[in-house]
Amino acid sequence: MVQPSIEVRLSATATTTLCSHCGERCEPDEEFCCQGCETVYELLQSSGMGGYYELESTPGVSQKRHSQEDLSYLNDESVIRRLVEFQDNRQTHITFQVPSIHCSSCIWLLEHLPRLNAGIMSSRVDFPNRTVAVRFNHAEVSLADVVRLLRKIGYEPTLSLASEGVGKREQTLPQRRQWMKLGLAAFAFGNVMLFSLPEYFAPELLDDTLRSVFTTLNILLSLPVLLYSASDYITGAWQSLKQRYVTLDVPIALGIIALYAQSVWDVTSGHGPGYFDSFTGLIFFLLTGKAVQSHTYNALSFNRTYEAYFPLAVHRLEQDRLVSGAVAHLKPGDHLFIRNMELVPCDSLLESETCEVDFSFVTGESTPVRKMKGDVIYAGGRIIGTAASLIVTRATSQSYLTRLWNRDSVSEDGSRSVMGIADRISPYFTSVVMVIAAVSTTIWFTIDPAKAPMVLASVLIIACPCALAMAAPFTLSAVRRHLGRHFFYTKNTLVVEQLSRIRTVLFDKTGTLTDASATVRFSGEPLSELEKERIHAVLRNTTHPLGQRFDAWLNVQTRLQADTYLEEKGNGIRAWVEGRDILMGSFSWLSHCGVIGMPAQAPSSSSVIYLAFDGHYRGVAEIRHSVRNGLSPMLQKMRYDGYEMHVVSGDSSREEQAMMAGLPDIASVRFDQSPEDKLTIVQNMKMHTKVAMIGDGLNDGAALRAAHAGIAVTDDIHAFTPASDAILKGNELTKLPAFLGFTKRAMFVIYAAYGLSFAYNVVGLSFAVQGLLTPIISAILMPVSSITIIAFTTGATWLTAKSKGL
Amino acid sequence: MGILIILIGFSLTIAVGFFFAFLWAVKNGQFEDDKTPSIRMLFDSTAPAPDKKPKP
Repeated sequence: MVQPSIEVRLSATATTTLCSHCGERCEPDEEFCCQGCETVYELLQSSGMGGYYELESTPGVSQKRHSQEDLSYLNDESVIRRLVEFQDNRQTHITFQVPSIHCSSCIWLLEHLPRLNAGIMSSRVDFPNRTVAVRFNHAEVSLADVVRLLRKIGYEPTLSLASEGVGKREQTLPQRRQWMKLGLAAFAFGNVMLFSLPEYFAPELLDDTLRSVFTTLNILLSLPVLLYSASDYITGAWQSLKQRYVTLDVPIALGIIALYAQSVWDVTSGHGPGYFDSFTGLIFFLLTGKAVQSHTYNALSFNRTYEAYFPLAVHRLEQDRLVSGAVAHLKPGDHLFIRNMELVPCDSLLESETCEVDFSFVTGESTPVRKMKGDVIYAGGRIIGTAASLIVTRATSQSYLTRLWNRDSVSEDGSRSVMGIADRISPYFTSVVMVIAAVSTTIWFTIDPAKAPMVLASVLIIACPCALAMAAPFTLSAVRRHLGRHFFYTKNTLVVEQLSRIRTVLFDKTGTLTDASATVRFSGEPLSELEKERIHAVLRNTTHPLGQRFDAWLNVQTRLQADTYLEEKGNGIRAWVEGRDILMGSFSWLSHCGVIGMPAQAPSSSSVIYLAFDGHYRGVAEIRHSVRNGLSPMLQKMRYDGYEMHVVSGDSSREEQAMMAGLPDIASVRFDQSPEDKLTIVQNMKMHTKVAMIGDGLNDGAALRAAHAGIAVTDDIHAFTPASDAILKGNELTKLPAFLGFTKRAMFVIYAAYGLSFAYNVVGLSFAVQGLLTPIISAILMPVSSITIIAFTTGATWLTAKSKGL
Repeated sequence: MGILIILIGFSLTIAVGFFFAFLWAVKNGQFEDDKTPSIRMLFDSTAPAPDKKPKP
């Protein structure tokens, strides 16, 4: 036993080296962490693209998790038509979603694709959206070749049933229209103000020609603002009135129309210059608020359907031949062949003798499940270990989970209850304005009937809820920005309002409360460094999740190689490393192999790996999920803040249950919940309290959509998350109490801003009801109120965020 | 005062020109991706381009 000590010393002195391509840790004295990275490096160097490594150090994407999916389905004409944006007889345009784009080197490499393949004409990266738009000559390269090239250099595009490339274009159009409306209003506002100022400050300098030129120009400039820029408010008001509901658009539209009508009347009757500057300014400020509010996180998708989760193609068995076919075309009775780590795309029956399936994303079960021939395997499960053949029982769109997901009652219920705060107070606001307008107009009829219409218009003009319409968008958008800085991404401003009212929080367990990584407890004599290296040499070959976790926990590197390696499905691994026989696997298997010194009884937990060296029992590693760091203090804080918390989990494991029971701040823990159960729980709770659901898996999908606020937790922001209102990065979960507290405080900022705008309205109305409103008063009051509201809300939100430590 | 009207004519023409430039920029998609161009402009265009094909 001299050798081991030498070995230990060796591994202790070997410095950790980082892969030149991707920066991941690699085996000692190696330049690359894997073959794939080396290939990419050499490819780029030989094509004169070494510049990739000069922009950023180790910019590459690790090639270890390189997928080997067969791409022949991309030659299928129907699939191509679904994916591409444009195709003529010479070129094809397609936009790929590439989540792994992360730095400037990525952009550089992806925009130089034509150098790697002459058939590609151009490629253009959109960094915020994480997309690459590629144009290629399909006579020279096929779509499959392009995808293969992207994959080869480490930028695997996401190709799923939901063809996203087509939808994007439709999304950008309203956005562009909004920019144009805002630009038009800004342009008109600036110029109209220029022509209006002389009238306010030096009317004596204006002669009749100049005055009429100015007013004519004002009318001409503000007409397109009324017809185009303000059109949303007027049509919005009309729509809401048709549905007998008063949204904020109604008083705004009233104000706009009164303002324009009064101005035109003033000019044509020769009364004065009109309120064109106030009018264009009003529209400009309103549209600014809208633009701020409409900010979206482009790279994230909150509305993913089940289609985005499933792959585009699977392998089918046709007369003992393996063919690749589109998932969309699968029909009951088809034979599937699903390999290690591939998804089962539709509900099917297992045809192979046995297989292991990881349902953690679908049902929340933390450990892989063993299925026997004839068992039903639900869509969304991931096959682990040996490939399995299956018979389709239902098409993807009819599968258990997708049907649950698509239920109408889940997707759209109570759209009225999620109306913004501004729209909710609008009916009261409008009626008060109406009463004031009616009263002052009637009084004026008795005093001076000629002035009454002017007073009516004045009241409507000055009461126009510009400040009111801006308070919420500016505050809530500021809140979203602050939350986004802490990796908490909200779909829109309404979600922020919903979050502020949450009283009850439901947590999913697997992947939400528990970490994706697990802790390992090794019982037995502690492992020496050499033993660890030997185990690592074996385990780095496995794809079994337990084995991988054990391997990650060992945290060693080695130059040792397994001489032979045999993985027996569902049982364990037998391997030879430097003449030592290593056995790892289940209790029954090791006993079956005749290992000496095994413990007397079988384990109570299923997540264990027994270990034997040279036929002698060495120890057992128990892999258990741990709760996320800092979870306990977080729950304590939330209970202190008055939130009621529950855990609903699809898991049925007893150890996990015990772990959850150890968290004293949680009101109830429910295990063994199906996706439907979760949905029912949320719907029942919704009756009497505001519910937030926090989950990560497909099995939470329905509950996430049903809750007042559905928050998807993910460790990789760009990975698949079920449709939700907000996406939260896993390690930021502990900031949840701060997030919720912040949104609550932000609502007070909005109320304060309402108070402020109310004060402005009182001042303005006092002029208006006396018939004293002049263009100059309006021209001062309107911009001043708008700007103070913007400054106040932004500043106050910033202070609130600071006070919450965000 | 006549000169003022001519000047206003000029200034408005220029302003309208800029307004149309803005509309063109929006239609060109310049307001959608405000991040990539800022990175792209820093790339060296002098890097060797071995077999650059002429545009078809």
